[in-house]
Amino acid sequence: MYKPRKKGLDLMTKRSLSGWLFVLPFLLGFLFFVLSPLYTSFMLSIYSQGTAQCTELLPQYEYVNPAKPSEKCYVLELDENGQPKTDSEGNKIYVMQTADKEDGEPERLIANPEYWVLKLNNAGEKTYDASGNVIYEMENGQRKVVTSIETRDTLNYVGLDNYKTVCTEKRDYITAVQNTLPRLIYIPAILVFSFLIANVLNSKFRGRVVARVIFFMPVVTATGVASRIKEGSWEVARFGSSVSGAMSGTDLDMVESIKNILSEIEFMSPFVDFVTGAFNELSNIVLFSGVQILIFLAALQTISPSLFEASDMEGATKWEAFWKITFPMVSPMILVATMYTMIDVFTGSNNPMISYLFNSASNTSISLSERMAMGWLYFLVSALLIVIVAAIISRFVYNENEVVKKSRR
Amino acid sequence: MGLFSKKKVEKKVNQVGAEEVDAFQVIKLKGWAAVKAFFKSKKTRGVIWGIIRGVLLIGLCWLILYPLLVQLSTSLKTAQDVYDQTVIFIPRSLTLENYTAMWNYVKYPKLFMGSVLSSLGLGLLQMASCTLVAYGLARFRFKGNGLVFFLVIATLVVPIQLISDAMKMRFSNFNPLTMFSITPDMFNTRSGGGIKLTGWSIMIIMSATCVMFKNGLFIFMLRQYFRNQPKELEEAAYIDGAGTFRTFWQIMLPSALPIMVTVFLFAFVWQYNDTTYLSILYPQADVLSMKITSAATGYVQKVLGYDNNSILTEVYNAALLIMHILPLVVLYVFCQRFFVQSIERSGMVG
Repeated sequence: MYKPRKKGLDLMTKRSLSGWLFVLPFLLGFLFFVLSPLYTSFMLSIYSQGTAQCTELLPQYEYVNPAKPSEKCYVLELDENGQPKTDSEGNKIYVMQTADKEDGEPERLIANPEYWVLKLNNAGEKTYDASGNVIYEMENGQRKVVTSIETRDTLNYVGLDNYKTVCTEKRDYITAVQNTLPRLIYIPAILVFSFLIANVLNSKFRGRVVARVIFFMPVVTATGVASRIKEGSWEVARFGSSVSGAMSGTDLDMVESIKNILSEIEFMSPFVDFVTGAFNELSNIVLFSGVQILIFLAALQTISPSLFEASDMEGATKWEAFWKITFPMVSPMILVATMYTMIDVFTGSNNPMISYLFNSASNTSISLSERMAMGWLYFLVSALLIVIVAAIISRFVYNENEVVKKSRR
Repeated sequence: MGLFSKKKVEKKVNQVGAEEVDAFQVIKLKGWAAVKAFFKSKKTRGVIWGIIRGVLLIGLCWLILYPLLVQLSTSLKTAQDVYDQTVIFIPRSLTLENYTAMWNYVKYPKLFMGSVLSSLGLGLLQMASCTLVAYGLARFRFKGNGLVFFLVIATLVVPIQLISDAMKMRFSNFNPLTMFSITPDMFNTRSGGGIKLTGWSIMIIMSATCVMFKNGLFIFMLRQYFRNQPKELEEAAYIDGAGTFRTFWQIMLPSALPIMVTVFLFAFVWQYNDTTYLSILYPQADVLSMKITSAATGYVQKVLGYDNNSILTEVYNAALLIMHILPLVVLYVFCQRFFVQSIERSGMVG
């Protein structure tokens, strides 16, 4: 006879609980180190940070009712942590303490400069007490209070004002956007390049292991501080050429020498900038495409050779075989490689926009809120682009399992 | 074959047999036809394709290695050689002085140990936490599994430069309860009753929770690997009475070791080279990547007493970069298998 288990959870719940347990580290990290800063930075972008002067009232003796000291005095209202409570503008809240509390709500006093006026001496200047605090008094002149003034940070909701300012007034930001736009070309260029190279590396020839090792090397030698190697090498070269000038024949810099050769040939001179630019970009693209080459290589190696044999028997040309076999079989990996490339290009630290954001932290003419607005604008646009492209590509991806399923029906 | 008329071919086939037609025709043809036939034959095509491929690959490899070689040669030059335009790659007088100067100036052994130890620790931590999360995502069906995986990929899209300010603000006064409260007080580092997270502690926490550089990619790779393992392995273990964690530890982990090594190597290398995360979270860290950016300028200005000598700075910079990158290159050459086969091994494709 079937007996239901009495104790413990059923297997499914248990499995799903242990699943949650396994992914818990990431969830915590995501919550505290990604979501929280993201949320904070977004809120900062729709608020503007400012400062306001608030009076801090020293509670021990200022608020004692001079007429009946034992009866009424204001004390700081404290929260659970023992910290003084503040109102929305950052002013500290005081509560009137009365001898008989049955009256209900204690009378609240918000310490705000408006409630208090400076006590001026005969010459119209501020007056200070013995310890250097500015003396204030109630407007009706009944009570004298000694307060100290402190400057506090405030947050004021401004909506999309920061975004408008950034888009219309910040010239540097617009320049950075303009510098980043050409980077979009990198994405298809890297994909096409790495796909071609993967096809080349997939054919059998001597030294292909060495070639693969070298093509993947930028992943190790061109990240982080090591990426300075490339910049540094161009710098050395450029310096070398500017020293001699006349001796351009012995130029160290490859780009420079190509430029020189091209400008010698007359009809080529309009293309000099284009060609040298393309050359420079090419070296960037090569350095970026290590992982993508590996992705495509791995994909190419999983295609069963029998497919090609069959197509050869049926009389397909190599060109046809490429489009009808290689391309569809690799297409799932095109999605992965595209996603990787887009993320790499958009968030890499050599992206003009990213380095602008990074450097603007030390730029005092840009406020924190504006910087957040800049970052969010860029983030939103790039995330949107990634999602759109991923959606488009995944429609064209050939999925073998799906096709098999459909044909079985 | 379209080159020859049908009749001609048939005639030749009758004469010498089908196998030799190709060679026979090439020899016999004359003039333009011979040239055309030569370029159409399989062997010539193979050779031409080989040459094109060779030129392409060698050129691109050169493009990759060129910056490294320039830095290497610069670092071995004396200042005189750098000024000399006739010296291109091989310095006239090889010198290791740049290296010894920088070795002593930045106290290389100490910095190197700092770099290696920190990258080792953080890399191992990232590998361990990413493996756990990836296993959870690959092998357990629970509501929200897809959402968690989406979040993993989404973390890759968030540039750290966007959230760095908010991070600094939150970490200077870390209180899990107030992480999502927006008050003017959050600018005030003293109030709020939180802990001040600084230096390695924050790096360790972030590594343990998979939010360091490209950890989403690691989780993705490991998840693909675990997904492709046969279900029967686990089922057998469960039937034999092993619990969830024992199955993970004793059955799934040992076979995943190679891909874990790959992930660790990536994490190690990227941590070793990292300047972005360090400059946001721990700018004073005693590691190579943080110190070498300004060391050359500092040496030229403070020790040698030049105001701004860019050529000397470049020479010392080159020496520093080579000192930084050389251990990595050695590591890469020895472990290239793990890097180059990383994606095949993850089974991302199949």
